[in-house]
Amino acid sequence: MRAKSLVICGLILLSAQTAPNFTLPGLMAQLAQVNSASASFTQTKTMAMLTTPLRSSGTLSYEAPDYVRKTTLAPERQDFVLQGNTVTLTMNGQTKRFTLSQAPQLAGLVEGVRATLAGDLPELQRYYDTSLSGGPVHWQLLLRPHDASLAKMLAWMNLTGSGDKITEIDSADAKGDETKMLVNETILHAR
Amino acid sequence: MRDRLWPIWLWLAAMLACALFAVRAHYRTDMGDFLPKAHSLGQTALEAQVNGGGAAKLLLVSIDGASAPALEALNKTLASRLRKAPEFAAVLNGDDTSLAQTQAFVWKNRYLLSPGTTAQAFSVAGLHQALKNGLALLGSDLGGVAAQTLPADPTDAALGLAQSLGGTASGPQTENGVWMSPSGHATLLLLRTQAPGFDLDAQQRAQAVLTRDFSAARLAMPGAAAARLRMTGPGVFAVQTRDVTKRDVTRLSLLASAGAVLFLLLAYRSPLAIGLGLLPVASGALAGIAAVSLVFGFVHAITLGFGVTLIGEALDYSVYLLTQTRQEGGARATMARIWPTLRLGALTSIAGFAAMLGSSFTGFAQLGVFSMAGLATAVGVTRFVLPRLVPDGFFARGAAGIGWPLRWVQRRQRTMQFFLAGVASLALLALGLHGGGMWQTDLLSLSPLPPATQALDKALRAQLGIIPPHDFLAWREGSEQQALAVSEALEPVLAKLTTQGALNGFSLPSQILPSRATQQARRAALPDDAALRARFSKALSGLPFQADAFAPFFQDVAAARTGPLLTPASLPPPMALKLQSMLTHTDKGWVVLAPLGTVKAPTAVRAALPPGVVLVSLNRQSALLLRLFEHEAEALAICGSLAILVILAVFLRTWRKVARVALPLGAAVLVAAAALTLGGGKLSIFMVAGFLLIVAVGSNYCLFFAGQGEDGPARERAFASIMLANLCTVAAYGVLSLSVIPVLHDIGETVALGTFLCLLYGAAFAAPAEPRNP
Repeated sequence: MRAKSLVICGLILLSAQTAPNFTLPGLMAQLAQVNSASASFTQTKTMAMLTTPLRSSGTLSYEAPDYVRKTTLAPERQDFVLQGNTVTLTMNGQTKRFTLSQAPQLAGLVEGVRATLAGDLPELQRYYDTSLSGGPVHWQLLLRPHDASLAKMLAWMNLTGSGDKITEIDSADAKGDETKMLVNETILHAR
Repeated sequence: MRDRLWPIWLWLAAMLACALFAVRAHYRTDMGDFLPKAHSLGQTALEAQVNGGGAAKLLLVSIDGASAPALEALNKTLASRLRKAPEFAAVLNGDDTSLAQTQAFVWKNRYLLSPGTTAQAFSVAGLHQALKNGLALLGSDLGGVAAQTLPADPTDAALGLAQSLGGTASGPQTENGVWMSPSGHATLLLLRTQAPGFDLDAQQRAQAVLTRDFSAARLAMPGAAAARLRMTGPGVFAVQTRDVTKRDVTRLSLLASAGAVLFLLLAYRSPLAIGLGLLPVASGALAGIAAVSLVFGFVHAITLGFGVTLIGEALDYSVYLLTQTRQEGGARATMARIWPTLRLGALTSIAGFAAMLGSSFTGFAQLGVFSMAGLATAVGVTRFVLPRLVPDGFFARGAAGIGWPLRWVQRRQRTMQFFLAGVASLALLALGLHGGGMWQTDLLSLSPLPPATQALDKALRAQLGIIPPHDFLAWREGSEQQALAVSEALEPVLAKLTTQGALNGFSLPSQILPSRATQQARRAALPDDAALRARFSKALSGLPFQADAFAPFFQDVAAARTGPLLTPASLPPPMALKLQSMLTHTDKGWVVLAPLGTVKAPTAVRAALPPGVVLVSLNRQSALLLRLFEHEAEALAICGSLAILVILAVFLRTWRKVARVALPLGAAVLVAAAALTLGGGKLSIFMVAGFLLIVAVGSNYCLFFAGQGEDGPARERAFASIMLANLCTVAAYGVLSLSVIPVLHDIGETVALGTFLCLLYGAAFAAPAEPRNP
């Protein structure tokens, strides 16, 4: 057991330093193999206008190619469903439905996550400058939006992952408000 | 010599006077002036909407036929060009700047616009609740958006507005700052002209500017050569209708006249005679215009176009005179012989058209006056002027044998009577079984525009989210402010009805522009800076907000307390457009027409409305108009027939003679009506006027048929004149039936068929049997 852990640690160290075959297209191709995934999450928002951070938790699910659902269970139940071009938001017993073209800023935000999940590099680079660091077992993908109005809402987004799993999504807006989301993928079906 | 000429001088003087009237008359083209005068508030509101409202100024534009990027670029270039054109008051294409302009306006004036601006909302308890809601929102998936606005708008005045201003209509999709059709094959624009919708010349100029700017933009754009501009809207329809009408009327009247003149030329073989033959019609038309202008103060364009076809009968008068004139006799002797018949024929026609005087359709009353004055003048000219102008020794050389088909019918009178009576009985039976549904129920079908144009309009309206609603609330007040006050009182009522499910959404003018009193009350509800800060710091207690985060809120409230109140002129174009479509200034006051979503429980909605506010259903209004029209059409037919029967009875004295004339006429009308409706066709109001014309023209045939004695040559001349009259009528009206304009098509078809049937039935039933050995 110990030896095995050591080997993994060694691999991680190796991959973080030198990963000659680890490229963004390669990672994207690997992510594109995922058909569906489910996860639990905990999220912490640190905002300039608040004296304490806001915490929430719930579940995430993804189905290729374009279905993303975020269900917040605590502190209050909330559903965010992205299907194709349509967003359905349910909170306080009310349901709102709108299309991404009606909310271009939100479109940039959600496409960042969805295009990564789907391994769709052209779509991702339509909205963002991308920079990848680390290796297959522990990688970090940093996204910075091209568009100035999107940059107001989202200064950067950093996705952390291991293999074809995403483990953390961090983001910040122009004012410095930060959101940290820890993701624990439980079920995953690859092609 | 002098005593021969005085009628000619009198006629010339009268024509000069009529011509002066005709030149000075007011001519109108509004369809509204042709329809019945509005009585109810609903009708007034609809009429205001049609004639002067903002809706009449809309142009709906779609651009397709190129790649999406080219279409988007083309749309943007066109919009920026049009924004510089003085013809357009508003150019909307979903671009970020005009959207941003509206958003900035709503944001800046949120405290004046929002119903949430109350003293309670700005109390300590109200502010505390608002902040708690805001905190929950920050934690949500919309937290990023909420964080942008919360420091300036903790009471969330703006978000509520975005929802209520959305109203019942849903706008088109936006792609890269341009409205896009759902299929993605076309980009869209919505324009409002500066000029009112009824100013057709100005509308045409605006459309020309649009087409010109589009061509210029397309030329400058690579890869857009195949792009196509399509436009619809009330102004486009009106201009197209006018153009189609002009083209059709000019082309077909020329063709119709040419047909009639050709037959006359064959019969008379004298250009002078043809010129003389047209004098009664021309004089009648002038007199008709003068009479209508005198009685009504204006002449409707439809009266003019339609009226001339109605007095086409006057051409027959000269045909009877010129064709029956014999070589040895002279025109004056002929006139002395045929005058009793001609006079009776004209009288019956005038009596028939008199029925139209009672119509509540202004246009029909005008047509009544026009045709009565026109026919009276025409028959007068035929009687007193024409015989004096016909050269001695004139006779219609080519007319001799023209009556042979009638003699053919006469020789087989028994057989023909048997056959035609059978046809008439079948027609009667068929019409009896047909029951209801004979009347044209779709008023739109009276429009001369092809269905494809109407379909395009429907499609573009749906894509732009300006589908004309079927149900409205309507009310009228003396002032704009009173009208807005009523609108404000309705807001909670309609909101409750919507929650109860009786109604599926609504739009009200006060949502866009609150009354001055309400704006003042909202401004008064805002506390002064010191009070607001004191209350706010209390409201913050127990909540994790930074105390200094809300500086923009204090600034904006202070600015709103001293800022100017909103007026219609201060609204950005999209909001002004929406307000104008609901609130119209008419000569009867300020009329509001507020569109409703689907009304599921009309009774509940009606019961909840305050007095003075009515629920108007477009379908119901059209149905009422239609019922009125059916009623009028029937009354017209019955009164006209009765008047003709009375005249015939007075002059012919015996029932036998009356029956001899009236029965063939009735049978011919019956068969014509059956033929027109049994093919699935519907009778329009214009056809009813056509039937009156059939009776007017046909009664002359029957009277001439019935008046024939044993005199062989006279009989042959008379038959020739009837035949020639009918040939001219069928030729002229047959050509009119080719028109795409429903009015002309209907009247042409009805009259050509009906008069031919009159000829047939007259020859078989009205004329005495052919002498055995002629």
